[in-house]
Amino acid sequence: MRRRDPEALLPLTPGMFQVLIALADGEKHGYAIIKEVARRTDGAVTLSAGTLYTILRRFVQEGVVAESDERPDPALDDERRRYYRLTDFGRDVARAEARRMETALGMARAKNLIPRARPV
Amino acid sequence: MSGDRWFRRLLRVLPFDFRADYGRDMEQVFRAQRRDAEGEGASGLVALWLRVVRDILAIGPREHFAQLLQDTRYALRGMRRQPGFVTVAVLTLALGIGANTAIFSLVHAVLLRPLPYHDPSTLVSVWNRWTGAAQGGLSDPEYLDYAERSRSLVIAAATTVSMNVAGGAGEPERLGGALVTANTFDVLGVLPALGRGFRAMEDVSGGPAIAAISDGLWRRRFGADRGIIGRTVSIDGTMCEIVGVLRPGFLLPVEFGSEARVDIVRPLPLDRAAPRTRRGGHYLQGFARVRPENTMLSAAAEMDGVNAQLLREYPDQYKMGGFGITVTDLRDDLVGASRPVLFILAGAVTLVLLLACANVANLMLARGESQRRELAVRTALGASRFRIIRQVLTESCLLALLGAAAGLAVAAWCQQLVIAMAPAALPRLDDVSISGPVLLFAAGLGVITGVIFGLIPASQVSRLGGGEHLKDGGRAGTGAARTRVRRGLVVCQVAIAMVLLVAGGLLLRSFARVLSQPSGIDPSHVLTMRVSLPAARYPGLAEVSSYFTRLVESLEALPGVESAGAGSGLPLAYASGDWSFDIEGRPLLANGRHPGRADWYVVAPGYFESLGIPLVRGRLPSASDTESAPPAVFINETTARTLFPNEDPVGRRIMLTRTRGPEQPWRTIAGIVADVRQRGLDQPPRTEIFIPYRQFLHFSAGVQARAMSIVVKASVEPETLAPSIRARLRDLDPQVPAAQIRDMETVLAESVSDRRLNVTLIGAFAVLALALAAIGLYGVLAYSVVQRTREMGVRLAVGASRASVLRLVVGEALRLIAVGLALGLAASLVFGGVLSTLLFEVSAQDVSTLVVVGAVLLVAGVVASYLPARRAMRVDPVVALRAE
Repeated sequence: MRRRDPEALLPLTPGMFQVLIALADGEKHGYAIIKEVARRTDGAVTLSAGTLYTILRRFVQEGVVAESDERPDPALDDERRRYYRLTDFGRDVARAEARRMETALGMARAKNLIPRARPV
Repeated sequence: MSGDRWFRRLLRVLPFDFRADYGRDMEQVFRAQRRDAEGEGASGLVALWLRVVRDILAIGPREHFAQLLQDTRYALRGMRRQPGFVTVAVLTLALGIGANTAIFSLVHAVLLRPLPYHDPSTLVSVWNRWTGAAQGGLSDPEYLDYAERSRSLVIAAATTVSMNVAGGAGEPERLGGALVTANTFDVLGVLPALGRGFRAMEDVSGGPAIAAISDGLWRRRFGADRGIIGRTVSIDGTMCEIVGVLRPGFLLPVEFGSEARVDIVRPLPLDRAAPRTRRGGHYLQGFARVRPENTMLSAAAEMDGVNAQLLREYPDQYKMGGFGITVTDLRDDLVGASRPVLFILAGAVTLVLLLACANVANLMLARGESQRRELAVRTALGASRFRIIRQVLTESCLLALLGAAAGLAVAAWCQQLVIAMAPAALPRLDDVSISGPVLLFAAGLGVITGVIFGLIPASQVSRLGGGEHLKDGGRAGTGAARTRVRRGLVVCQVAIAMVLLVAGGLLLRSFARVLSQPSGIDPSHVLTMRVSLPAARYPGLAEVSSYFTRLVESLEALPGVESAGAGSGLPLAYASGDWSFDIEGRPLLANGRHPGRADWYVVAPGYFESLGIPLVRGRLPSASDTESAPPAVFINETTARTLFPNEDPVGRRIMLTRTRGPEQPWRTIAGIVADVRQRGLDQPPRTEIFIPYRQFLHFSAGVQARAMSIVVKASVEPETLAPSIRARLRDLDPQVPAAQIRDMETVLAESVSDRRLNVTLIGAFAVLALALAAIGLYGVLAYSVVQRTREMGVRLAVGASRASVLRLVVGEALRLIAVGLALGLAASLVFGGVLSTLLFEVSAQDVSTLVVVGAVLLVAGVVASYLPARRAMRVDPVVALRAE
C-alpha cells in the first residue's frame, strides 16, 4: 500500500494540533482530551464538544485517529465512553506539523522577531 | 435531567449522521462539563450553556454544508459516468420547469406585481352600472357630482382618444392619447419625470392648450431633448405647450386591457358651469384614491348614498333602471379578467411538470437497478439509510436545478411566443421578463421538483438490505415493488396526458366553432385604416363631411380600388355605445323608457359595399343622403326583428334622443342590412342603426364623428395600396395621417387572438404530455421485456408462437393505458367545468372529443410498445435460458 503523505493534511488548526498532542501519550476519551488541552494551554485553547468531535470525525476519516474501545473511566463514573488513539500515520502528521512550526519559529528567530532559545 | 433533554434537542441542529455517530459522546461530555460548572454556581452553568449553544449553532450549518458538498461531489461523479441519462433527464425537466417558469412570469407580471402607482392598495375604480351594463362609464356631469359630493374618495377620470401629432422628427402621425382630469397624476401618485402634471382648473372647457407626453414619444420624436418643456407642438391642429414628460413605463388605468398605448395626455375639457340636467354620454373611466381615514367599503357605502341623492334629483335621466355606482379595488378591476386564463394555463403546466417528474423518477428507478451492487456495498460499510436517501435527493435536486437552468431558455422562448400573440386579455405584457422573482421561482421549483421525483427512487433504493444483494443478480422483493411503482407512474402519466389532450381538443373545437361563425363581412382584399380629424380645423359637420366626401372620392379613383367607404366603427375592431330612440306611433314603455335602443354608427356611402355586407331590403346609403335631403337611417336585421317583428320597418320613422345637443329630426328607415358580428365572432349581433354621415347630429352639442374607419375594397393585394392611400391623405391634409393600416383578414385574426393563444399553449402542452407519456410507457415496457427475457425464452422454448409473445407485450401496454384512460376520463369529467369559461358552443363533457383523445392515446401506446415488442419477439430461447 502506498504510504500517504502526512504533509498533505497540513497546516493543522491549533485545536487539531492540540488533540494530536493530547493523544500522543496514550488513548483518551473525548472529555479527557478537552480537559488536558485546557490544562496544558492554561485555557488558551478551549475545545467545545462540537469542535472536538468535528475534529475527531475528520481525523477518523483521514486515518489519523482510530476509535479504540468503549469502557468506563474510573475517575469519572460508570458510563462507557469511547476512547480514541493516535495511529502511526497520525503520529507522522503530528511530527510534520511540529516540524513546520519549528521551521517557522526558526525564521522568526533569524529575523530577531523573537529571542533565540537559551539552552536549558 | 431536563438539562440533558434540552441538550439533546439542541443536538438536532446537527446533521443526522453526525448525531448518530457522536451524539451520545457529546452528551457524555456535556454531563461531565455540567458537573464541573455546577461547582462554580449559577454563573458557571450560564457560561457553560452559552458556550454550548454558540458552539453547536456554529457547527451545525457548517456540517450540513460540508455534507451537502460531499453529496454534491458524489452526485456529480455519478452523473459524469452516465451522460445519456443526465441529458434525457435534464431535457425532460427543462421542458416541464421551463413551461412553469414562463407561466409564472406571466402571472407575476400581470397579477402579482403591484400596480405602477403609489400605494396601489388604496386605489379604486369608480363605475356606473345599470340594467344590462355591469360597467358603464361616467358622463361629465356625473363625474363632477361624484367628485364634489364624495368625502371619502378623491376621484379622477380619463378617456382615450387618438390625436394627430406634428412637430419633432418624422411625418405627422396619429397616436394614442388620453384626456384626463387635472388631479389624475396626484391621485395615482406618479408625477411626470420631467416638468409637471396638470394644475387644478386646467381641466376646463377653453382651458390652456397644454399636454404631457410619454417617455417613448419624447425619445422617439424629440430626441430625449430636455428642452422640450415649454416648447409647443401641434396636436390635432392646435399648438400645445408641453408641460411634462411621463415616467418610462407609466400606464394610465385606461391603458390596461388595451393594446393601444397613450403617448399624449391632455386635460379633459370639463364645463363646470353647464347645467347637469342631461346626464347621458357615459364615456369616462373613473378611478380614485380612498382617503386615509376611510376604507373601500365605507367609500362604496358613501357612493350608494350619493347615487340615491342624484336619482332623486334627476329622476328622468335614469330610466334605464337599476342605476348604481360601483366602487371596486383598482387592481382587481384592471387585471381580474386575466385570472381565469392564467390559472387554467398554470394548471396545465403543473400537469406537464408532474408528467416530467414521473418520467425522470422512472429513469432514476431504472438506474437504481444498475446501482444496486454499489449501494449494497455502501450499506454494508455503514452508510445509514438516511444518508443514502439524502444522497439520492441531492442528486435529484441537482438534476432538477440543471433542468431549471436549461428551462430558462424554454421560458424565454415561451414568453416571446405569448408576447408575439399579444392577447388583449393579458395586460402589462410589455414588462414580462426573466426577472429576480422569476429566477427565484425557477430555482425553488427546481428544488421542489427534485424532491418530488427523487423521493420515489430514494425510498426504493434505501430499502436495499446488505447481504442478499451482494450475492447474485438479486431479483427478489424490491424488484417487484419497484416495477409496481413504475407501472403506477405510467398509469398516472397516461391519465394526465388524457386530461391535457381533452382540454386541448375542447379548446381546438371551440376555436374552430368560433372561426366558423359568419362574421357578416367579406374580409378578402379589404384594406382598412383609422383617420381622425382635429377639432380645431374641422369644427363642424360641414368641414367633417366635406373632408370624408373628398377622401372617399379620391380613394375610389385610385387604380386597383373597386370601392371605398367610411364608418365610425369597424366590425371586430371598433364598436360603439348605444343610443335610445322613439319609434313613431309607439308610446314610451311602462317605466318611461324609450321604446328603441341600438348601437349607433355613422357611415358614408360605400361602407357596406366595401365590406361585403349585403342589403336585405330597401336601399343602401348613397350620395343623395345630403344635409338637405330627408333625414334617413339604416338598421340591421336584428333591429328589424327585435323592434319591428310583425311589420316591414322600411318607411317607418324613429327619433334619436338628445342630451345637451341639437334637436333630433324624425328619420325614415330607408334600408335593412344583414347582421354583422361587430363585437367578436363569439358575440351575437346586437341591434344597430346607421346614420348617413352628412346628416349626423351628435346627442351632445359640438361633437362630430371625426374619427372614422376607411374601408377600401381592392382588386389587387390590399397592402400594395397603402403607399398611394397615404399619399392621398397627405394631399388632402398633411396634418391628418392614417393610423392602423391593415387588411380585414388581419383584423379578423386579431379579434380571436385570445382564443388562439389558449389553443396554442394548451395544445402545445397536450402534445408535450402525449410525448412524455409515450416515452414513459416505452421505458416501462422496454424494462419489462428485459426483466422477462427468461420467461419469454421459456415460453418460446415450449412451443409458444412469436405472435403470442408480441401479444404479451402489447397487451401489457394496453392494460396500462386502459387504467390510465379510465382515471383520466374521470378527472376530465370532474374538472372539465374549469374550462367552460373558455369554451364556445362546446360542452366540457363533449363525447366525441373524449373518444378521439382515447383513440389517440391507444394508438400512441401501441406505437410506444412497438420496439419493446419487436425485441421480445426476437428473443432467442437458447440464449435467454443460458444467460441466467
